[in-house]
Amino acid sequence: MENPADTEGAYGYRLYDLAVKSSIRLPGLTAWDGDSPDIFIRLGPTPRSLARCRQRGVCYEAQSGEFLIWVDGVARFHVANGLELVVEAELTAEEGFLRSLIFSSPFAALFLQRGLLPMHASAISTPRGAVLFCAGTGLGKSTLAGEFRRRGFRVLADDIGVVRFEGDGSAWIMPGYPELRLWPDALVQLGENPAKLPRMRRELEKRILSCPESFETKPVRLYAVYMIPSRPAKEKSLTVMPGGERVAAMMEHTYRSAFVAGLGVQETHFSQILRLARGTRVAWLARPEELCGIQTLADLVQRDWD
Amino acid sequence: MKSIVWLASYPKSGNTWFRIFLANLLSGSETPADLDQIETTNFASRPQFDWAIGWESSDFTDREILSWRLGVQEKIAHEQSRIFFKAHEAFVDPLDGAPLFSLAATRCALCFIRNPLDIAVSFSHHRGKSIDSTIRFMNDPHALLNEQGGSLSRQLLQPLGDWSSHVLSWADAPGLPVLFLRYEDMLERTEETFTAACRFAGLPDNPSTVRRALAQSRFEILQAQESRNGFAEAEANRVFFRRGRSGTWRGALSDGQVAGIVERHATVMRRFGYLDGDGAPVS
Repeated sequence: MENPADTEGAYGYRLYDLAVKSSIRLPGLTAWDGDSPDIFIRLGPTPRSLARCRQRGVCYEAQSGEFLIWVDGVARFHVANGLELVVEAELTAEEGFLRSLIFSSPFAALFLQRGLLPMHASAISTPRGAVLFCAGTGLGKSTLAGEFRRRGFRVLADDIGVVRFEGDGSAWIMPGYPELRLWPDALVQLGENPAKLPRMRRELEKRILSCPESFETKPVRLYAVYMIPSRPAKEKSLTVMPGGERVAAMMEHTYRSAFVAGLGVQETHFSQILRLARGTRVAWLARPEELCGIQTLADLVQRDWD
Repeated sequence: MKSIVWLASYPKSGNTWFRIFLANLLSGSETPADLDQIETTNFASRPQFDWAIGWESSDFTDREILSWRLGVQEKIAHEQSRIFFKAHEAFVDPLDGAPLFSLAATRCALCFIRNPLDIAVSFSHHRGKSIDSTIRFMNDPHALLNEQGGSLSRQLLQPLGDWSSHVLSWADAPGLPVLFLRYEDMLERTEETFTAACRFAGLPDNPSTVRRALAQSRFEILQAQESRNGFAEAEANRVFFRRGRSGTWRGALSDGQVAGIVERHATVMRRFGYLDGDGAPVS
């Protein structure tokens, strides 16, 4: 593999408490101008396939230390050893969409390679510490983060809540980047005008709500994990999750848990899940199908730490 | 590799009833399966699709997602020895005729069909829209469920087409092992119809097992469960298990509404016994 230090890195950013040198401009991120980056992002050719592929999805291949993922007609991404992400983009690829893709599955693979735990969650900072709202797609985790931002809380991350374990066993949530991605109906709930916000990509209604003024820039020790079940409930409720349910729920809510086995990180991942399940306040946050009522759902959660 | 059994139907045609029967059949328990524990998921639900593609489907367009469907089915089929999926999609895309289901991944299909006059009544309640609007939808050759818009649907796009082309896409799919079950037969000749379905799909079909599962899936039990705990597949808290009967169109549809369906779908209605020799609808 080419030495990442030899590659051009015109831009410096800091996200997830990692220093990134990138030859691709990634607007909206916190700038960084140090000289010993943790990660390199560059444009370049990617392999057609992985030689020792252990796991193959429709659009990805994974093996120990390497990960390849693609969207035909848009780009291919190769992630190596938690250090380097190479992007091979089509000339027609939309810049904003490319940026969104980089920070989704390729970064999830990179986190797993680095021994970090990416949860499918938004995260905010509270007086008690960081809280994660874990949920599948479309269940309201970004909207909840948006509602707490409206209440004056700082946002740590949207969609991927990255957990780092320290030597003393404590779990910390890394600050992602200052954006929430929300659909118009959720934005209206939060009192925002979707028409004034940029789209995540031209063809989709999903919008980017930039929030640098309410973004937490330092890691915050984890206080609680709230899991929104995939099946809607009749009534809103918050109940402490029984110990026996926690491991399965956290495995399921690992961001791109499908990559874990292919990357050969099952052991690390499982031990992290166990630490999280044992050492954190974990609760089910049940909610009805309708998105309306996000304020009362947020009231219910806030009472849990007030 | 050919491990997927499709439980396919136009909406409101008996699919969910069969899925609950299946859950009871396979559970072997003496108590009825909970509605929330029906494991045959809709193929259009996002989590398993995202698991297979490795991306978040909500970041992609409907057309991009459609382009991955067959690959997703083949990956799932590769990793499971047998799996049941509910599906409302037509067998081929009504827009361009492209296949929406992989024969390489498919073991067989059980296809549920119901008198479209009754569907109009039941589906309009389910959608929370007028009967006229529902008839227009059933007659629309390009009808879609869960098209992308200003909010994120939990389910992916499901191309349906109009009722007739939907039925024919499954009935006449080349190379597809398919058994059609009429909802009316499921009601009137219950044990015989469900047993035939079990036999076709390679499920346990001995009389005592089938009878137990049928008893645990009685409409009154499902209604009571829904009333007590709700049902995740109901739309906007409207009751899902409403009547469970056939012939409810009589008294619910106007003559004009009946004509609007029969004129459009006469050929397929006749083929499946929903019109008599004179072309008049049967109950």
